[in-house]
Amino acid sequence: MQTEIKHNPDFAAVRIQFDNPGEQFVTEAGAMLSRDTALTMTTNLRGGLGAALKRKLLGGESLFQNTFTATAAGQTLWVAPAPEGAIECVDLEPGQNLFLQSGAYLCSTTGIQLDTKFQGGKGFFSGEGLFLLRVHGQGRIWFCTYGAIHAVDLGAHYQGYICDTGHMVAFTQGLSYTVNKVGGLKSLFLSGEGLVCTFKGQGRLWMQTRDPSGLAAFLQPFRPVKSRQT
Amino acid sequence: MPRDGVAEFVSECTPQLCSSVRAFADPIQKTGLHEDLSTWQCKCIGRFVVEDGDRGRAEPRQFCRREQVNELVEDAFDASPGLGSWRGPGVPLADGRSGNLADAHVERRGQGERCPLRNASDHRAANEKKAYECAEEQRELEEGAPRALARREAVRFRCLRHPALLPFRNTSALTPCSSEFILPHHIIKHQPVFALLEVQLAPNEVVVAEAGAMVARASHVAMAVKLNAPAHAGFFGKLRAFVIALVRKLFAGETFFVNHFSSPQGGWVWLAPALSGAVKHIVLQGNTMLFSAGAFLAFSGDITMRPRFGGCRSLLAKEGAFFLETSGTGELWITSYGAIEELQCNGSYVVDNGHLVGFDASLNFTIKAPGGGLVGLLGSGEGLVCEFQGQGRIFIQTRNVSALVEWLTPLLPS
Repeated sequence: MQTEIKHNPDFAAVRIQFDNPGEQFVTEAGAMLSRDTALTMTTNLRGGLGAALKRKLLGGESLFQNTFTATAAGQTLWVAPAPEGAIECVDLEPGQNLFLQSGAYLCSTTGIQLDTKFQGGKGFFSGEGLFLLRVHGQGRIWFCTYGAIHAVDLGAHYQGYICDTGHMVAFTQGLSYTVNKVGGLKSLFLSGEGLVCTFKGQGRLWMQTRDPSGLAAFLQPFRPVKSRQT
Repeated sequence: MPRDGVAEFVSECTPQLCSSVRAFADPIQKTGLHEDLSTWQCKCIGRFVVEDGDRGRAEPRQFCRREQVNELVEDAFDASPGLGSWRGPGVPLADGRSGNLADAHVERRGQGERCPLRNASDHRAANEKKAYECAEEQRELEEGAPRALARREAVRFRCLRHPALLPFRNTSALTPCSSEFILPHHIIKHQPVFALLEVQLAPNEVVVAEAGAMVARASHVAMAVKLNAPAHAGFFGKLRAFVIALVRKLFAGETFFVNHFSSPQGGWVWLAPALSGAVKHIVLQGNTMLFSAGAFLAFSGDITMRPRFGGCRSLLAKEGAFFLETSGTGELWITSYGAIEELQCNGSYVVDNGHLVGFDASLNFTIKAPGGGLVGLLGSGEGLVCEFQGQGRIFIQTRNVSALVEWLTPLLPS
């Protein structure tokens, strides 16, 4: 299987070309752009209903996932996420974990499993949801961001790192974080930063250069107002 | 001498050459050959920009296909070392104005008209973005889409070899104080995110653009709001155009009217689509292509557009049941939300309905469920897909407006 990310960082899409019949690829529901007709697509609850429901309700992913199976060599598949932004791919070995912000998962090879991880109260306050997606298994996973991707390796250059909660996308298992106020009460309300994640440990942290809630707040005044019913 | 960065080459033409250009341009229009010329990619502008000061390898990529210009430029330089004159920053141009790169301008001979915003950083940005298109072509070549590529190359090279343009190809015509290069008729900048289309109009050439697409135009270029009817249409032709415009407005997501831009002495117009996304240039040579609703940005030449019903099943698709059928001879610029990818369909290919931009009419298409049975229809999130059969090009966009809205809606406060 050959894969390529094109059009990073603004309208990124993944092109997959299968080398052998029988190769499989898993995508988030609705992510397919185009494919060879002969590729078979099956829609299923991967990992059973319980796991799928957990992904859907707790991890912000779709209930169903699509599995594409090649029937001949050279068949192609294109995949892209909904938001404008970049795609990053990560190779995982058994025993390694990658944590994703809910909704960031795009597609993966079949050896990858998705799970959710309870973040505790900090998840509630961080605005990212109570759960993170835990990605493990062996293979390659692609995740998407809103805006471009900025990756930082912690441990070597940085002992600690603070990132805005809305810009945090993914991190590897060696990292742990706590949610803090930026400063005192004054900066909490006036700095516009709200809460931040303080990371510690050794590993890689991926951030997105735009915050979806920032876009939502920007667009809100432009929405048509419904006339009040009397 | 030019140093780092972008340098300018200013050609200084003799009056004799000016008149000879006009001499061959006029008969072309009179004998009807002009129609044929409307498909050429290039027009003559007395200036181009090169990167780096290496004379032998000038690459004015943002104006033309690299190979073409390289050939021309190299020929010219080889033939006559004293050709034209090189201008670095701050060197006065021939007419005494400052040649500072920061406010560089394109000089259209005989008019002295200034075309704004063609400064050094602009050129650099255009150069970088052009790499995107070059890579795209390279990919096509590698992926075995030689037919499409060969066809388009053929268009270009035939144009270059057009008898009327031969004086430019012939190096002996490039005398030491005259240099005239063939430069394209349009430039697409800021691909693929915030694409801007700049079209240079030949005298009396008409560019038809989607209403509301104009960003700027030369002050002498006239704009006329018209129904989208052929110029020679009679009463019934106009009536038909009115009905078609109505259908376009209601069903095909296009606007009711189109704007015609033209000027007796030529000029320029800049166009941009409403959404962020790419603009793609397409040449029609009597072939027919279909585009999804909303993909049309502009066209020039003898092209007719009419809506085509996509079949009963397309009514179920949220992307609209009508396609825009374009046919004729000329140039067409289409736009999409997201980057545009060109795929080659050899046999059969499936495209998500919301990501379809356009396709060759040589392809048969059916709108159907995405596969995977009922679960696939309801749970796959793909909605409906278009299945193509045959040989031809398909253009897809890498983003989808309705998916964006679905992603954004939960974020908005209710």
